Amino acid sequence: MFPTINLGSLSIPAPELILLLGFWLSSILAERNAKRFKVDPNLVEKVLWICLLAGLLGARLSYIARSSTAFRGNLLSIFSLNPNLLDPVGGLLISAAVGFIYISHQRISFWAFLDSLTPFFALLTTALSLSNFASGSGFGSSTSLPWGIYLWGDFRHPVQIYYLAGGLVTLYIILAIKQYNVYQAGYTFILFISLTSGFRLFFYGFQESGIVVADGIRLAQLAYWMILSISLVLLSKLFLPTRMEESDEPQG
Amino acid sequence: MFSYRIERRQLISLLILLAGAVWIWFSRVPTDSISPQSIYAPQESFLAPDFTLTTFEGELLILSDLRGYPVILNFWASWCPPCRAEMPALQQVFDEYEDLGLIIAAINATNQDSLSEAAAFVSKNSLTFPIPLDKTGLVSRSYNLHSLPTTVFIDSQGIIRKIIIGGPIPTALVRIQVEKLFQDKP
Repeated sequence: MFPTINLGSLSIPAPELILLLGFWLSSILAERNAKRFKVDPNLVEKVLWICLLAGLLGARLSYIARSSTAFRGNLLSIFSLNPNLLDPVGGLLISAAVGFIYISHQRISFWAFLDSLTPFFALLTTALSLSNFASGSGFGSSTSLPWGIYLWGDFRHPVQIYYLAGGLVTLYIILAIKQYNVYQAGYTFILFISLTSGFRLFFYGFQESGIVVADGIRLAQLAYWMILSISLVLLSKLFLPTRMEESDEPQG
Repeated sequence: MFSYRIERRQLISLLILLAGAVWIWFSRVPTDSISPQSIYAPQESFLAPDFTLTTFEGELLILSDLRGYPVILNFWASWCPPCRAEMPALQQVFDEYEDLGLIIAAINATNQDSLSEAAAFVSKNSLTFPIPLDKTGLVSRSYNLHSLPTTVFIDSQGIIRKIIIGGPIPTALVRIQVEKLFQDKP
């Protein structure tokens, strides 16, 4: 666990720094792979930055909307650089909505564009796991296994490392697919969703209990199982391998 | 040949989903598992590590004695600009919520600060909440202090609800976290 990186008197929050670096590296990876999906790399870069800005702005606005009374008499707090004044869920929803609206105004298949963003999502997922490891959040349950790490008063499963490993394997599989043109648009993205929900369903069994429903069953695992079910149905029903007409010109 | 591949895919999918369902049941939380809320650790959802410190006025402050009240611990030093910048926000929120039972303890990291400069800062800013002195740095270590300022929000049952590393914290954020502490009050 390394929540801050101290450079002399400068103290940098490591989890946030990892996420920022993760975003930057993930966007580079997506741009470099965009042509494989016949998508213009410049469009990928543009959309990612638009989504980032919309997400940050949306996260702050959503936070203010949910706690508006706290800002009365302290309007300057609205412009604070403190990341704790962000609502991640609100930011994510607004970012996705802005991205969807922007893409739907381009002459490009939405699913093909999601495919081109898949390496971005896959690498960012691993960055998120590393960020959680740095902050010590999302920690594992008690274990007596030899690779357990001492954290928060007990030896625990290094579950963030499990997620990191799962994310890297997923990224490898996504990048290892060579013949994108034999699958329908959207196949790569849905494959990513299947793999991610699958390994998260498995590794969540080693995580310290979150929300628990009846008989100790974890709600998050049920959610991952549902997502896995839907994505597997989509993979087998909608995205059967079909050789598509190849086009030399990238879309967008 | 093509239909055989579809059937094989569907069979594999079904097996994966069945294995997933079995795993969800097998890995469910045991009834005798130890809750984080019964372990002392400097992390959200855990019990706040207890300590005894002496304040500027020479009074003893024992964290466990404050059980029943929402508590903010703010680790600071007089040489730290963000610590100095956020102190008025803490004082403002303390003034607003003191009557409702909010307790703020601004723990001075005395082991890395000058006592006279800390005293001058407290006097200049007319801070009215207790200022415990961590002369040995033991309390800072027990809270895994990596950076100043660090602010810990503890509910009335002694559970850490939020840790904010760095600053300055805007008044609105302190107020929101305090409101949450009062909402969690049983």
